[in-house]
Amino acid sequence: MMILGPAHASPENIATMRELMGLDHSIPVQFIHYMGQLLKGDLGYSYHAGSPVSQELLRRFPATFELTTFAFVLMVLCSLPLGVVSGYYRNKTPDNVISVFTVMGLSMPTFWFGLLLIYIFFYKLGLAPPPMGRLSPDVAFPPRVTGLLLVDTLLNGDLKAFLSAFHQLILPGVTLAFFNLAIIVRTLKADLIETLEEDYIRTARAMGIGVKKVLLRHAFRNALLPTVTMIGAIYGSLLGGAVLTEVVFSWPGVGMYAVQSIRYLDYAGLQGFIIFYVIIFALITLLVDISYRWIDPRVQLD
Amino acid sequence: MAQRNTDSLGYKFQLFMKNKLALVGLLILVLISILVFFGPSLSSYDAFSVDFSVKLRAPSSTHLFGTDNYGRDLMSRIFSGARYTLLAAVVSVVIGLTFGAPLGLISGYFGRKVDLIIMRIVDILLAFPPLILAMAIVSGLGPSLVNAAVAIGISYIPIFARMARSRAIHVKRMDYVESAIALGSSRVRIILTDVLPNSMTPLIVQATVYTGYGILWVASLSFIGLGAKLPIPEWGLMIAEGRKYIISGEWWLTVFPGLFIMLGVTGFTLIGDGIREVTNPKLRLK
Repeated sequence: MMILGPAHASPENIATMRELMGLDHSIPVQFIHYMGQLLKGDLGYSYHAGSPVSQELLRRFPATFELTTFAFVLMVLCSLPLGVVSGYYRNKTPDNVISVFTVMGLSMPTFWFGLLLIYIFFYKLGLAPPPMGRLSPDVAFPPRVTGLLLVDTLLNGDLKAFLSAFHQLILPGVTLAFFNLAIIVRTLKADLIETLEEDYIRTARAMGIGVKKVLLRHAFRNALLPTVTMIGAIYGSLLGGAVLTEVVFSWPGVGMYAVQSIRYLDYAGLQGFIIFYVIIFALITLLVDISYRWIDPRVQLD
Repeated sequence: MAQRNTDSLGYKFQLFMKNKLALVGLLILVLISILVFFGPSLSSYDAFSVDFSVKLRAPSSTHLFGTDNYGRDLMSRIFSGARYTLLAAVVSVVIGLTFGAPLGLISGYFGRKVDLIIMRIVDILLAFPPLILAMAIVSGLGPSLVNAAVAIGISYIPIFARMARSRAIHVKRMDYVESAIALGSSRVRIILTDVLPNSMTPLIVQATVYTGYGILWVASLSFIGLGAKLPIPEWGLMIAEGRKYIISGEWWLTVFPGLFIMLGVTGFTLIGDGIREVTNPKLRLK
């Protein structure tokens, strides 16, 4: 009402609105009511989106999930070879070049990097589609099955839509992956350097096993453990970064929803988003903790 | 070499000056400090004066970084904005350090129930993905640059607490702490005279690095509308303002503030790495 302007804010309208939003109760009562509804999975009603918050979050989550997962895969595929190379060629040219890139990646604002990519690949080179959402406007949305466009378009057998969805995903995916890439490369490098100094590596070399084999079969696998266990934290960082990336690329995910809720002072929307994110983050952390045991049988669960 | 006191401050300073990257960091920090203290007077234009006759001009000899959609000189705005971004980052680290470090030291030194209670609270804070906790706090306090700094500070508390705790647990086992206990020093005295000084270095390194990250977080919060308010020339907010123009090719509105953010973060990271290398004999040998 405040947002629609004084023309709509007659005293009666304000009163009905207050009653609808539950603002006629005291704050403790409102809080208890909210907590009670929360237990039933009801996160309240989002006034700017005109729908229940939980429904809106579930509708949008596949978009965020698709983006973060794509970025995650991209990040792992690029960071592992880079980490091995810079660990092996420590303080030589390849390591120095990679180091410059990782330091840059860590000190760049995610959203700024995204905007740079838009400028170069959309405005200058014309290679990327305009940064507006998940599909180009001339392609029809596939019927919703999973909500993941890459999957849904294939299920629908629509190759053109699949390519469009993929095309739209590249720039935001690269943006999101870049910052976190640097973290993995640095960890893997440090662990690899440490592992390469272990006695069993020297033994393996002394036994005449080739450098490549020692590096990949012996050192890499052992150095990977600490890196893999960092993944929970990294996924959390991806979720946080997704908020900024979604804003830059007008990506209709939950992060974008949170930012819109902030703009419209829609607290139910933002609170719902935060609770939703924390639950997902906690679940991921739990899964990573459980997988410790699976990755390294020496870890005892107490 | 064997005779040299490798723990003296002078020697450490010499080592630091030999580290080229750390020197670059120091240089950047000096540059940024100059901007923070003298920013507005370094440029020939006023950061807030609107002149529509020169709006959206590309970088040229009269406007080195170009002008924005109100015809304001971008270089003046970036120079004047340094103090907002930097001070907010520093404030957040000060908050994180002053609340986090004592909590961690107490938790680590006392152990048992105290440790259990404090660490569970820290765990709750750590259950939030980065940025999300800060978003939650600012939206509760109301969006402003000060609240953004406070929110980032609060999300830094668990990080500093954990670092201080691990140091306290390490120092607690040292002989000199045992002798202090034998001499009858109180726990508070031991924490202040033994545990704290011996935990300082890693905390200082962490504070330096996190000041850099603080710049990123401040800019991020401003970018999504939870930090500085228009027309403050905060760097993240400037990027948000320039965002509309990137698809029509006015790149300078976004590129220059971003470059300065990068410069600031890199400076603090390099100095942090430099101090870490100088103070850690293990790394020094390599």
